[in-house]
Amino acid sequence: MTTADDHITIRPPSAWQRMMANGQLRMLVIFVPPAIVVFTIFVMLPMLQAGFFAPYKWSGYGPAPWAFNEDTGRDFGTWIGAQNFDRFSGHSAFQTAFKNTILVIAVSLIIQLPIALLLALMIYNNSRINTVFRLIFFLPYIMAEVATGLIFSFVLDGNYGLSKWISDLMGMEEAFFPLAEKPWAFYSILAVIVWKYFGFHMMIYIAGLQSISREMLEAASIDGAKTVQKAVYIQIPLLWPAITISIFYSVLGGLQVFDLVMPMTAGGPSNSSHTLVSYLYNFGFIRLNVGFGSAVGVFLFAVGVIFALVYRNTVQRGQ
Amino acid sequence: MKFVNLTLASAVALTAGMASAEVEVNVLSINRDSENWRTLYEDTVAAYNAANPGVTVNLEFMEDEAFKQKLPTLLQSDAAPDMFFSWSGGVFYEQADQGFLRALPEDVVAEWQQDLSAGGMAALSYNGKFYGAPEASQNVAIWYNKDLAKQVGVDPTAIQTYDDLLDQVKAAKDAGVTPFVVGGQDKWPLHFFYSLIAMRIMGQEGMAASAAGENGGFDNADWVRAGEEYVRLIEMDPFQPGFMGVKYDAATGLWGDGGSLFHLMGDWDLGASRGAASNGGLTDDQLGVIPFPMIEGGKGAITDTLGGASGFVLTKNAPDEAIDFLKTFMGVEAQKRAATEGVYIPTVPSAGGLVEDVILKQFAAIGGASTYHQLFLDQFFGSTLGGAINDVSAQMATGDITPAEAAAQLEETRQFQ
Repeated sequence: MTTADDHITIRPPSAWQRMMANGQLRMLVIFVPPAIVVFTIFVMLPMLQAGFFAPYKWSGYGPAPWAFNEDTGRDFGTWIGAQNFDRFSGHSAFQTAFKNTILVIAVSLIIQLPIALLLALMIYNNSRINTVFRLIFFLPYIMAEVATGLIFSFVLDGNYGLSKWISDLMGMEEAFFPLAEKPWAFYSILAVIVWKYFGFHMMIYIAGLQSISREMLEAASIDGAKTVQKAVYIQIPLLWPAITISIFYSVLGGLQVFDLVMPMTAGGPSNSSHTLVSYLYNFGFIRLNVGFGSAVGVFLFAVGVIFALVYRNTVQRGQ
Repeated sequence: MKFVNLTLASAVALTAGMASAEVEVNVLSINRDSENWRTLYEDTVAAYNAANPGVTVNLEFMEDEAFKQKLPTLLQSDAAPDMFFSWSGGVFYEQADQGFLRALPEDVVAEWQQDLSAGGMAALSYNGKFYGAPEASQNVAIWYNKDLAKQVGVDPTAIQTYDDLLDQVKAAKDAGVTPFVVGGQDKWPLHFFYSLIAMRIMGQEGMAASAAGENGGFDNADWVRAGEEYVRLIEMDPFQPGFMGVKYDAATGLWGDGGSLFHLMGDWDLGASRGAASNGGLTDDQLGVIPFPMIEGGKGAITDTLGGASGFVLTKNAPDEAIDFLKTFMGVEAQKRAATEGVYIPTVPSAGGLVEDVILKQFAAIGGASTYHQLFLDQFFGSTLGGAINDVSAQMATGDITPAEAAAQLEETRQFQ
């Protein structure tokens, strides 16, 4: 005969109970609110604000475009609906900026990351000479963007820069001014972007390569695998999680290129070297069109979010 | 409770008493790098403070770019200055339009128009209201290098028409001398060409009509012709190699180093080019100045001038004492001293004659004889349309758009404003 007592099973403590018991809850209460407050004030609110400003024609004077200005008897801004979006999408400088941004991403993925991977494969082993090379390759990344831009604006100046030296060396009659020539200006920026950031991706790969177990590589060697075969069949596949992260950074970084463009070309000649962000800054904020700039910002944000969501749910799924 | 009330009352009485005894006038200026300009300000403030017990004027300087960026926020805060420097033009119109500035009382306006400069006052007015006092006037003209003119074998003073200018540009090219240096990356130096050509073609009425959106606004035959005349010059390849990658500072350094026969720039370039040149720049003897020439069939006069007009404007909460100080700060005495010391070209007509510097004198003469003074177009039309004028000036210089496309783009931008 069984009694009711026989059926009593001991249930494991719920997640909630566990958290109460081991102090996790206290940690959450202490640490989460500041993070949420800071994130809300400095990230969420500005993003929402940009969204609210986007349908207005507004110069940036006054607390908000919909605020009433007692001194003039009307609002600070004017509601214009989707006109800001219409305007930038039809603007040739925006189209160029968009193409340029795509180009940055393409070059990062097709040229920069393979270079970084190749170098990482060459110098990931710990040795003194490799450490020196890692430092050298990583140096461009350490430099501030604006400083890099300024340095390259001198290097590429046909009057006194490296460009002049090379032009003279090649016996060209007129010095070459890459930053002043439309076909070259943006490619010069692209070259600097590759030069500046490959070291960063290389470091991600080196960290990934060093975590691959030596036994596996030794086993492959014993089986007769050559260096290239080991790289292609073992190291790169095992490095895939690191590569997906590096692609993620490349694309989002590409969407944000700004500080190199401003000192090098300021978007010129003739608005041919703008990126989305430098376009936003020049046509939105410098020209006192905060509503217009916000609309471009909303577009940029949407592109970034869509990419991040799609990427997380496809390429990085299960990682 | 009684005690609290008493303390409160005495505190209020004390602050009120202080307020009536001591009025502060806070002045925000852009950096005045030239020593004598800064000293002029400081001396004027010190003298005013000494002569007016009960008023304390505080003078603060801010770097140009920081000034531009901080001002919109500053004007909306409690820390807003009582008066600040203004380049006039579009940004100023926006500030006035949004009610951040204090308009001068009518009797003050009438008095200042008489004593200071009516034209300068007009530059700091918006919708019939006057907001400040003018200081320096700037004019753009063609500078030429006398040594290079001799080398090329031309006499720039003989230039009367635009075709004459183009002939000399060609002569310079043939002689292997760069006709013009220009800081194309900044765009605004290029817009001087387009602006002056447009002014010569359509004159004051045409420009006003464009601003008002009459005759098709910017999309009309005059603006297209202005572009075509500009492109005629561009097609002669008149600028130094790589001009689109050079900013104004570097370009004027090249000019100071004898890099070209001509230079289309304002009077401020005298100091700027000498500062930027590697060997102290061109001497007064090497420099000449001519007005931008006439264009055949144009409605503008050779005496019409393009330039700036800067000054100080009052903010909406400025006390009456600020008006009084402004009159002294930008007043006849201060401007006369500026003229004799070669600090800047004053707007006050009676001070203009006191300019002693040989080159500045020529600019003062051009300004003095002006039949119509047009504010720089990139400022006059506000930041959006003004920026678009700079854009199309650069795009035509690189051959990206035709004069007709430029005119259409400007009109499209104007309509959006």
